[in-house]
Amino acid sequence: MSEFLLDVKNVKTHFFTDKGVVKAVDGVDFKIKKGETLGIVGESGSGKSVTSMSVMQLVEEPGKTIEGAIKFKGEDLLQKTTEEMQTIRGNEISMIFQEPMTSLNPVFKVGEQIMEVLMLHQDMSREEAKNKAIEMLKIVGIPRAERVVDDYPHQLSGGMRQRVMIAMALACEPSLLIADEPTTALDVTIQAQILQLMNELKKKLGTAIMLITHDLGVVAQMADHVIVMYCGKVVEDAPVEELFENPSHPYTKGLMKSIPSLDDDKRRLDSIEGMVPHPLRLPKGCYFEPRCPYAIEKCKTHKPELKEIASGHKVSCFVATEEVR
Amino acid sequence: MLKYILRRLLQMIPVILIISMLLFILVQAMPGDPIQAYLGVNSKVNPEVKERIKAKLGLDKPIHIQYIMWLKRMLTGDFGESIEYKRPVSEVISQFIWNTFLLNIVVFILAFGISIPVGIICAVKKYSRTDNFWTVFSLIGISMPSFFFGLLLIFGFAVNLKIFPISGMITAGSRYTGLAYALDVAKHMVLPTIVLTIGSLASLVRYVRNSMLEVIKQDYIRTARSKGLSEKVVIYRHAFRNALIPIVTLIGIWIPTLFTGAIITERVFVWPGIGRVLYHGVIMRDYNIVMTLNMFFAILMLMGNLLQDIGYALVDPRVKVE
Repeated sequence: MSEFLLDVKNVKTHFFTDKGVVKAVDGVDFKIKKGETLGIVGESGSGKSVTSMSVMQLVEEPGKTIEGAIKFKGEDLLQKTTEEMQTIRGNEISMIFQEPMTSLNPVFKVGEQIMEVLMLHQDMSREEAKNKAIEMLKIVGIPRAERVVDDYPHQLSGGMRQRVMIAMALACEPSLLIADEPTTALDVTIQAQILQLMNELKKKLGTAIMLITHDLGVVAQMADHVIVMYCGKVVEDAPVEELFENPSHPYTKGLMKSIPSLDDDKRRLDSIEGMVPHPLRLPKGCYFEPRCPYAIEKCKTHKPELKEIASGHKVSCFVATEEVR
Repeated sequence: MLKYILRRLLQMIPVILIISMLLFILVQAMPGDPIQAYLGVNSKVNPEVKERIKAKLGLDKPIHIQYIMWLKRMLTGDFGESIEYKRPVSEVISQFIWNTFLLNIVVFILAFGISIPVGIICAVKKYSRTDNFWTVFSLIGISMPSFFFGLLLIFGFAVNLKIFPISGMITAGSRYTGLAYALDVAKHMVLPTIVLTIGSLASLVRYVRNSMLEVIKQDYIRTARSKGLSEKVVIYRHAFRNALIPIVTLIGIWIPTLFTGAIITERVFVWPGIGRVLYHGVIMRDYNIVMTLNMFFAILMLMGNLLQDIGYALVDPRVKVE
C-alpha cells in the first residue's frame, strides 16, 4: 500500500447532455495522506462537488467517470462493483453535505438514521446500534443525547443537524470523510463550532478529510494541503502555508484578494472580473485567460499544464511558471 | 389524538346541519311533481285525491316546517319511504349500497395496488420504455370516456367473444348459492372493474410517479446513498416513506367514493348499485332517497377529510394534530 490513503489520477467525469458533453471534471489529480486534510477550493461550477461524487461513485446520470483511477487504500474504486462500493460508502468513506436542513430524512428519527449505518456496516443489533448512536451524538457535542436520539430532524436547529450528520458520517470510523461545503449554510458562530469539532474529531479518530469549500478562510483554518479548481481542472496545488504565502495562479491571487481584511480600509472588496465560462463554450487556450489580468498571447491558443515551481507547489499557468524560470 | 378526533367530530355537527338545509332547499326547488311520480306518470287522478296524498306525505306544509319535520325523522333514524320503490329508504339503500361497495373496493385495491409500484418504477426509471408506456397509457386512460370504453369492452368480450356477461350482477334466473354464486358475481364484475380501474390508474400512476420524482431529487436521498444503502433500501424505505405523504391525501379522497358509486359505469353495465338508485331517485323526484343519499355522501366526505388529516399525522412526523 502506498503512503497515500486516496490517490486520484487523471479523473475525468463528463456529463453527456443533449446539448453536448459537459466536462465537469477534466483530468484531476490529487492525493490525500492518512489523517491529512485536503482543501478543494473553487467557485460554483468549478467541479468540486462532482469530484467528490466521483470518489463516492455517486455521479448521477447523464454523468459518468470515463477515465482515470481513484485509488483508495491501493484499490481502484472505479473498478469496484456497485455492491463493493456500497460496503465502502458510509463505512470507509463517508460524506457530509452543505445543507443540513435537507440532508436528513424528515420522516425518520435522527437516532434511527445513525443506527442504520451501524446495523448495515458493523452488524450491530438494534440495541447496540442505539447505544453507539447516543455515544456518537455525545461525541459531536449534542446535549441530552439520550433524548435527541428519538427526535425528528425538524425538531433540531441547523447546527445541531449538521452535528447529527457528522455523527452519522463518523459512526463507522471511516478513514476518509468528504465534507462538501459543510459550513456554508450555517451562521458564522455555528460555522466556527462545526469546524472546530471536525478538527478535534480528525485528531481523535485519525480521519482524513477532503474539504470542499469556496471559503479560503475555512481552508486556512482546516487544511494541510490545498488544490484550487477552475472549470474542471486543477490550476494550483500546494501546501496550505505555501499557497497563502505565495499564491501563483492568477485565479488563486484573485480569490485571495476577495477575502475581506481588517487592516484594509477599502470600501469595496476586490472581485474577479468576468464570469466563469459556459461549460459548453470553453475558451480554446487557458480557461482562465478571458478573465486573467496577466494573460499573454500564448494563453489564448495553448493550454498550460501543471508544473512544479517549488517543492510540492504546482501551478498551471504560462506566466507563473515562466516568471520563476 | 383522541381529543382531537372528538373535537373534529363535534365541529362536523354544524357543518352537517348547514349542508342539510341547503340540500333540502335545493331538492325542494327541483322542478317536477312528486305526487304525479308517486301515482305513476300516466295515471289520471282527481285533484282532491292528489291533495289528500300531498297532506299524507306532509308536502302541503310550508318549507321550514317540512324541514324541521324531516330533520326530526332523520335524527330518529327514520329516513321515510321511497316513492319509487314503495319501501323504507333505509331498506332500499342497504339493498344496493353493498353492490356498489363490492365493485369499488375491488377497484380501490387494484388501482392502488398497481399504481404505487408502477408509479415508483416509472419515477426511478424516468423516460425509460416502461415509463413512456405508462405515460401513453395514462393519456389514453384519462381521455377515454368510461361509457365509451365500457361499451367497447361489452362489444368485444361479451358480444363477440362471449367470455363475460353483458350486464347485471348475477345471471338472470339462476339460483346459485355459495361458491357458485360468488363466481357468478365475479364474472359479472370483470368488465366494470376493468373500466373503473383503468380510469383511476391513469391519474394515480402519474400522481405516484410525480410525488416520487419530487422526493428522489431531495438531498436526503443523496445522503442515504452516501451511507452505502442499497438502491432498494434507498427507494423503498427512504424515498417511498416520503412520497407516501401526498398519496395519503388521495386515499382520503377515495374513501367516500367507495360508497358513492360510479353512476355512468353502473348504468352501462346495469350494475344494481347505489349510483343507479340516486339517478333514478332524481329522475322520479324521489325526495327521500335523494335527500338521504346526499346527506350520507356529505357525511362520508367529511369523514374522509378527517381520516386524511389523521393519516397525515401518522405518516409525517412534522404534522401534529392539535
